[in-house]
Amino acid sequence: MLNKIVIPLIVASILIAIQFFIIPLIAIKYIIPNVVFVFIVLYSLRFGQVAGVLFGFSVGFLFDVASAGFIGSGMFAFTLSAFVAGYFHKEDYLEVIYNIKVFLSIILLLSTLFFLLYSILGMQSIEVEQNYNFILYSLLCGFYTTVISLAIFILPKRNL
Amino acid sequence: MEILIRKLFNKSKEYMLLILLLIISLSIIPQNNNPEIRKIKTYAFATFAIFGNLIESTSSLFCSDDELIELRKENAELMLAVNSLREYALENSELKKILSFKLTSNYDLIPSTIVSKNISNTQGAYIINSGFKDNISKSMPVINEKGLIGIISEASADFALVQTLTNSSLRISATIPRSNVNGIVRWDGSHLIMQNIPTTADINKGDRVVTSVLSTIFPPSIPVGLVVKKESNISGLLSNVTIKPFVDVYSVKNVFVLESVESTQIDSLELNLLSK
Repeated sequence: MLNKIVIPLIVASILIAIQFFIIPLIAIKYIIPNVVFVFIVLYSLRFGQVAGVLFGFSVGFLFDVASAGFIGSGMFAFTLSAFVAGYFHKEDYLEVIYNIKVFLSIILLLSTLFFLLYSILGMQSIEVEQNYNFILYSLLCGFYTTVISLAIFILPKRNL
Repeated sequence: MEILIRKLFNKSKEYMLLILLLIISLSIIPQNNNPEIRKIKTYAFATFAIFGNLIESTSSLFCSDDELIELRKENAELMLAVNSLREYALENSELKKILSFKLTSNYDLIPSTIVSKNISNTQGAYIINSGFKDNISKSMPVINEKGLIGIISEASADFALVQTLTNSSLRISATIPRSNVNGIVRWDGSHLIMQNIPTTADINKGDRVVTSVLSTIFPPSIPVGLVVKKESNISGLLSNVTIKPFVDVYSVKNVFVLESVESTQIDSLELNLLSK
């Protein structure tokens, strides 16, 4: 209970605060990494699909409320990303994380999906010609998130 | 039968849970303008902003920037004055005499600092450390020394939420003073655009775009940006004008809220028209 719900929720809340107060300082124009997303993927890889989906949904709600954006857009994007990340769940989740190529591919793929969904759901109306810009934006943000996610390898194994 | 249902549930419980949560998320999105949800959002961002303010005040302990804020305020006031002068130069002075045109440009600026930013290509927003205790209310324009940044969308006692130019929900009534072309400016996810302008309208690259006198929210002549591109749509009758904003909304730290007073006369006129 403590390790599966309470501590992850506290960590997620701290990361949400970091996302809105500190991460904007390292934004390149509007290209910004999402540290909350990396944490949700890690959670899903560790605890599996069902726990990941519920956690993604709850953290998504906190994220939406704190971001002052559309409530529901972050919830949707985090929930779906956590579900897909759960496919890679293994009993020894560190095996997935320390297989750098696999881990970075998961982060790049899912963060691109996350940013795409979050952007599209934040629009009131969308036109076909905008799709290219949305995909490009999502790819760039996804790439930046992947680079930032490398920071987890600095952490000692027992903390992951 | 029961065993079969249980088996089916056990096999696909992840999918069922996912679909349920996604439906809940999607059904919440259209409710965002609901007054109850807005109230929750206001309380939530005000609570969240307290932490941001703590971080901001800790960092400001190391560098006092009172003088800088004063200078920025002076700059913003000068920018507004220059723009009014630019406008006046474009108007016919004789016509002004005939109409005894009475212009007032006495804006009050409330200095404020951004405590949190949501950098996104569709949901750009800031939380600033001034609220209705500082006379800030909903719909007040937010500017800096370069031009328009956004609008106050919610305000609590000590904090306010700003919808920036990069928020797809924001609509600005704008004009190109050189040719007097009016239009609505909005963010399309990657650019600021003025949509559905007649192709024959006299618009050139480099034209200034400012807030329009037709707007009941923004005072006229606040600089928005420069025209960088004009593209005709498929029919060729209408064009979309791409605007480069004067303000880099991603790197702004200090802002000013323009203390505008709602025009009760215009409001009552509109109400009268509606009641007929």
